[in-house]
Amino acid sequence: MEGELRVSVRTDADLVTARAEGRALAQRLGFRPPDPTLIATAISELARNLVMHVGHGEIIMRPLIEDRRYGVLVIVRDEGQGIADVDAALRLGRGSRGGLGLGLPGARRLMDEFDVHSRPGEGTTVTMRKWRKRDDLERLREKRERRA
Amino acid sequence: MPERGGSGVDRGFPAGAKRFHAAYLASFRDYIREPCEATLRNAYELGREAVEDGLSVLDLAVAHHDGLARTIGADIGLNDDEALIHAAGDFFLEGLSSFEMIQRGFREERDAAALERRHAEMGRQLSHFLADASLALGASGSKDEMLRLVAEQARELTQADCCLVVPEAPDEVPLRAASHPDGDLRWAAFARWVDVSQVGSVLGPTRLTEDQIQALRLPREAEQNAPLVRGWLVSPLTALDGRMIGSIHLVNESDRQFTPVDEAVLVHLAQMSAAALERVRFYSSRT
Repeated sequence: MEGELRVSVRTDADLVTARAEGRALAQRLGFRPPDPTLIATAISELARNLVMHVGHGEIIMRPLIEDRRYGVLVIVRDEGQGIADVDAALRLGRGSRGGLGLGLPGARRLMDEFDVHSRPGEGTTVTMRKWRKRDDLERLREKRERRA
Repeated sequence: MPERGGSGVDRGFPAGAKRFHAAYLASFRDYIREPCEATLRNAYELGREAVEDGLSVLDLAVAHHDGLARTIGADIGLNDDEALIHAAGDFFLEGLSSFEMIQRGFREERDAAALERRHAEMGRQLSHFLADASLALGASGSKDEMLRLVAEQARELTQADCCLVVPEAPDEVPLRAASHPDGDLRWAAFARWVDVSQVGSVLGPTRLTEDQIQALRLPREAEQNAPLVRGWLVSPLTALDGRMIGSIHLVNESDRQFTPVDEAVLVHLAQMSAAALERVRFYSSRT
């Protein structure tokens, strides 16, 4: 898909790459501060989970372009052991420091849409989106640019 | 060039905070020297560490202020003040993002607590409704009173702008009961004239879609200054034997959408109302 980015995550260095790509995508789509930071933070929280709890995984990022809004789609997936109790993980996180509100629940709170699909033994896929409005003036400008 | 400005590290902060200030200063200067994702990431890690160590957002602010004050004028290779201010802002924002996660969590908890309180209040009001309904049974014109009570209770419980309770049979008297803000002529006209048969029959609680609401037509008498309806929730009044004996309509002009909680409350109220109305019918037929 056009504009799709994939980052394989195994190490801390990959986490930095994923953050940078997510932030750059948000900025390209016209997200204004603090949204690029929040998107980078949500990606960081999930990338940390991959490095710390699973070992490796993949982060896919895509621009979402609709008539009235722009969005950033982030899919974080792994083929680890999966999460036995997704509701509890969304409430408390996956790590031993659960309950602070960081990790999975923290990422959920920073994004507009958040979905976790996980089954024990079959890995986990987290899909999250953040949106911004695309106003009339912006659409008119884009139309004019396309004509020119 | 000597450093100038704050010296928070030496101000007698607890050891944890001192260590945090020192780490913040070092990472901040790394970012100022080389602004990139790798050095910016350290701000995120510091914010996370602060949250895990129980430091407050004010600790982060103090560390940032000290870091900035001790960096301005220091010979670290950045002479552009504007660039320094922007970079400092980016670094601080990154550190704050972990606190934002926690803050949003508090907000969720607060909203959940408010919902709990609302549920408790609803339970209390439904109990009052049962008591009032029992009293209405003994009064003359008890069906009027009962329908009015249902309309008032439903509106109060859901905080809707208007509630209509409409018996099923067209020759029923009264034709309908309404509750809306006192003295609001727009809602009064709406409640009097709107033809709820346009909604159609429903088997359970139903939230009308935007298209369905826009398709509803008001008679000329109510069209002028009519409320701009944005939300409509309807539930049937069903007797124990399954007969449809009427419907309850909640209507909103405000942006607030009806929620699943409103639906649940309306269903509960509709069941209690249907039973009470059937009792009125039973007692009326005996006297």
